[in-house]
Amino acid sequence: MYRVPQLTRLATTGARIVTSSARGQQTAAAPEKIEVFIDGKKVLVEPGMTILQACALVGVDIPRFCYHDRLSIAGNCRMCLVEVEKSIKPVASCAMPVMKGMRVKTDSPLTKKAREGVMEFLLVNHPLDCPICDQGGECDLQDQSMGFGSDRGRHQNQYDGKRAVEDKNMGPLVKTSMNRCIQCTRCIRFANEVAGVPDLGSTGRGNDMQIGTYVDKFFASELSGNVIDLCPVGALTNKPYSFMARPWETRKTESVDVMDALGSNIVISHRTGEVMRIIPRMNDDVNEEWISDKTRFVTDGLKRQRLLAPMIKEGGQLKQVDWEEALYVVARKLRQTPADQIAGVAGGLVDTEALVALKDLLNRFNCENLYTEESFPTVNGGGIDLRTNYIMNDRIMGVEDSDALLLIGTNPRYEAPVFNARIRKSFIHYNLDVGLIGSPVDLTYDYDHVGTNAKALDDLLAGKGSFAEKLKSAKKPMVVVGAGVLQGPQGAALLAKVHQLADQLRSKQSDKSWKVVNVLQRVAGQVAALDIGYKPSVEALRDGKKSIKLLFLLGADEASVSRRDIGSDTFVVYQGHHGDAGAEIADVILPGAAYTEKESTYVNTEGRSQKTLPAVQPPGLARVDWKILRALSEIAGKALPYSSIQEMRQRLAQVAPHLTRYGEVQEANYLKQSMELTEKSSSAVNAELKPAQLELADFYMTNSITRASPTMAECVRAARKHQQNPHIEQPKRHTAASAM
Amino acid sequence: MATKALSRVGVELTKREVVPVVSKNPKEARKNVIKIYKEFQRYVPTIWWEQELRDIPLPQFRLAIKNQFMKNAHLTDTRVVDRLVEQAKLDMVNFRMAYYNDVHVRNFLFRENIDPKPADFLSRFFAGKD
Repeated sequence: MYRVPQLTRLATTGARIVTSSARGQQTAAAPEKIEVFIDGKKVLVEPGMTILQACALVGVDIPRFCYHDRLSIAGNCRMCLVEVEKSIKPVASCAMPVMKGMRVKTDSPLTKKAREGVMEFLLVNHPLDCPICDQGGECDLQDQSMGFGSDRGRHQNQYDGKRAVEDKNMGPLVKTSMNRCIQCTRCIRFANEVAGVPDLGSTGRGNDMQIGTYVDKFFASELSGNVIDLCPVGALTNKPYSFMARPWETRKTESVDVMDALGSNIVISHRTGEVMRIIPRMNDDVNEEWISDKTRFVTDGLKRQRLLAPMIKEGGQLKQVDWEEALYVVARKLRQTPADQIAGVAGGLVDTEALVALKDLLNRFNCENLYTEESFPTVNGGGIDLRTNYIMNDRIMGVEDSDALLLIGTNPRYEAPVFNARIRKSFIHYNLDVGLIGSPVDLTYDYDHVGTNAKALDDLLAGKGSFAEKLKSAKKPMVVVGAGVLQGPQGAALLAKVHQLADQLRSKQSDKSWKVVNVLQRVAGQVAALDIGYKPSVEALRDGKKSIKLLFLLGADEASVSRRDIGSDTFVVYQGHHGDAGAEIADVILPGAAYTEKESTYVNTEGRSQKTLPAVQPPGLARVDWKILRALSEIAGKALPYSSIQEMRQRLAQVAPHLTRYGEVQEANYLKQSMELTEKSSSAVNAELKPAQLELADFYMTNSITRASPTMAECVRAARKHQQNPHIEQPKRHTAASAM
Repeated sequence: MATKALSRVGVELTKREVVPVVSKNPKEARKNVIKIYKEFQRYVPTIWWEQELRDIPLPQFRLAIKNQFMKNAHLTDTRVVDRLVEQAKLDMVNFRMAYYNDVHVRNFLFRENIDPKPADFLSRFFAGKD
C-alpha cells in the first residue's frame, strides 16, 4: 500500500512536521527560516512551505478550489495563481514551495487577470442553476466568482453549448449533479487518502473528464458524507437534506455527537424547531474536520419513533397520561418498594446530568443498584475504581505520535470511524505499524494479523512473532482494546493480559506519561457513567439473585434486561427519547430529550468532557432528562438540591470536578497501583475476539436513534446489496506481505 | 455683603414652591381627568368593535376602563395626576392610531385574569416553561 515518502511529507505538511517531529530521537534542530515577501511585506517561513501557506501567515487569503489543508496537493484548479517576481508566468501558489527572497504579488493586475481567466474557463461549463442548487449560499464558486470573476464572459450559449455529464448514483447519502463539477478532485483525494476507499476516480481527459465511481456502484465508506463538505460546488450534496433549507435560513448550534464514544464536534443546523442537518465542527484533538456518516445522517432518526407524552400501562395497553399522574405513580412505587428491590439501568446515550440525577435520587432511597447496560470487567487491576482502566489514556491525538499500534478485538473502522481515519493518517504519513488481534477486517490500511484468539497475546508477551519485535522496539507503542470484547465472563482476564503486555512495553519507556494501555469505548455515555460510579454490566439483575421489584431504565435500549430476566411482577419505568426495546417492556414511560435538545455533558473515550447545546425543543410533552428526575424526586418527597442547570453543574463538579472542565482531558493516575492490583496469570485466555461490527452493513444501526432512522435503514440495504455487486473486489485481507 | 446675598438666595431656593406644569390647582387637574375620562368612554365602543373585543360585554368593558381611572382615585398630588392624564392621552393616541392590539388591551385591562408565572421548579416543569 502507498505510503507518503518522507521527502514529500516535508512539502505537503510543512507546518505539521515541526510539531510532530517530537517523536523519539528524530528530533532535529529546527531548519532555518527563510525570508519571503508577500505584497512587499517581509515574512519568515519554514522551508518547504508553499506560497499559499506563507500568504496565510500574513493573513492574505488566496482563492482556491482544489487545495485543502488536510488533503494532498493537486494543483489542478489554477485558481490560486499569483504573480512571482522574475517568473514569466503566474504560478500556482498551492503547489509552489517558497524560495529565498521570493517576492509574491497577490493583488497585482497580472494576478487579477489570471484569476479572472480561470473563473471564466470554470464558468464556461458550469450550469447556471444556482437558484435550484443546494450549495447556494455556501458555494465557493459562487463566492469567488463574485469576488474575483469578470462581470461578463465570452461564452455564447447558442453557439458553444455547455458540457453535459451524466449524474452518478453513489448510494443513499451523496447526491450527485455532475454538470456542476469543476474537477477539483478533492473528493477523489479524500476517498483515496482519508477514507481509504479508492472508489472514486476520474476518467477521460480535457473536456471529457468525469469524476465518478468508474462503474455504477455505491460509495461504500463510513466517512462518505465528508465529500459533501469538501465539494466546493454543488456537484456532491447531501441527499436526505436536498431542497430542505438554505444556509442563511438556518440557525447553527455547536454541539457534540453521541453516535460513538469519540464525541466528534458538530454543528447542528436547524430551522423552525426542526433539525435540518449536522455538519462537522473543527477540533484537531478529536475529529479534525471529519465526521462519520452515522453522525451526519442520523437527523431523521430524531424525528421518528419519539416518545411524545408520558404513558402508563393499563390492562396491557400503554395509555397517554399527563406528567402529574405519571410522576405520581412512579413516586408512589419508589416510596413503597424496599431499597434493595429497586434498580436503575443507564443506557449508552445518557448524558452525565441525568446519570448524576438518577444516582442521587436512588441513593436518597438508600438504593445502590445502579448499572450501565454496557458491561466492563470490575475485578482486576482496581476495576473501574481506577480511571486508567477504562479510558483511552494516550488520547486520540496520541496515535499520530505512536509508532506501533496493537488493536485488540476492535474494528475501529466502524466503532469509531474518525479515529480509524486518524490511524490511517498516521499509517500513511508517520509510518505507524499496526497489528490486530481479532477477526480479520478491512481497516483501510495494512496491518499484521497477529491472531483471532486472545491466546495471541501470550505470544506477544513471550516476544514471539514479527509484530512482537516491532512492539518491543517501538518508541511509543499503543495498545487499544475494544470495549466490545471486554463484555462477558472472560473480559476481566483479557483486560489483565492487556495490562500485562502494556506493563512490559512500558518498562522500556523513557517517557513516563505514555501509558500504552487504551480502551476504546463503544458508547458515548459510558466513561461518564463509570466516572460517577455506576456499576458496569446488568449481570447482577439477570442471574436472579436479586429480586427487583422496581426497575428504572434510563435510556436503556439494548434489551440487556428483558421481562424474562426480571419477572412479570416487576414494575418497569422507562425514561428516554425513543420508543425502542426499553419502552417495549415499560409500565410507565417518561419521555426525555435527545442529545440535540438539551444542554448536557458527555465524556468521550479519552476522558474529555464536552458540552452539547440545545438546538431544538424536546418534542411534545418530553422534558430534559435530569429535570424529570428532579421533579420525580420532589413528588417522591426527597427533593434533589438543584433546580437549574447551573446548580446541576455545581453538583457535577462536586461529584467529579473534571466533568465540568469542558474541552479538557482529565488524565488518569494510579497506573502503578492498577498494575499492582492486576492478577498476573501465566495461563492463556482462550477467547475468540470478534467485534460486533465486521462490515459496513453493521455500522449504521447501533442505537435507538439510528434504529429509528429511515436513512440508516436505507444505508444498511445499500451496503448489503453492494456486497452482491459483481464489480466490487472482495474485501481485502491485508497481510504484511502486501505492504509497500 | 456677598455672604448675606448668598444666604438670601439659599432661603429663597428652599422656600420655593414647585409649580405644577399643566394644571394650576387640584380643581383644574380634576377637570382634566374628567375630560379624558369622558373622551375614553365616548371612544370605548369603537375600541370594543375594532379590536375584536366583542366577547366582553360592552358595559363590562366600560367598567374596566372606569376601574383603570378609579384605581388612582386616592391621588391628590396635582403633578402626579397631570402625569397620568398625559399618559391616558397618549393611550388614546395609541388606540386611535391602532398601535395597540387586542392582546395588549386585554393584558392591561384584565391583568388579574392572567395566570401568574410558575415560580417553583415543579410548576415550571409541569407548565413546560423552564
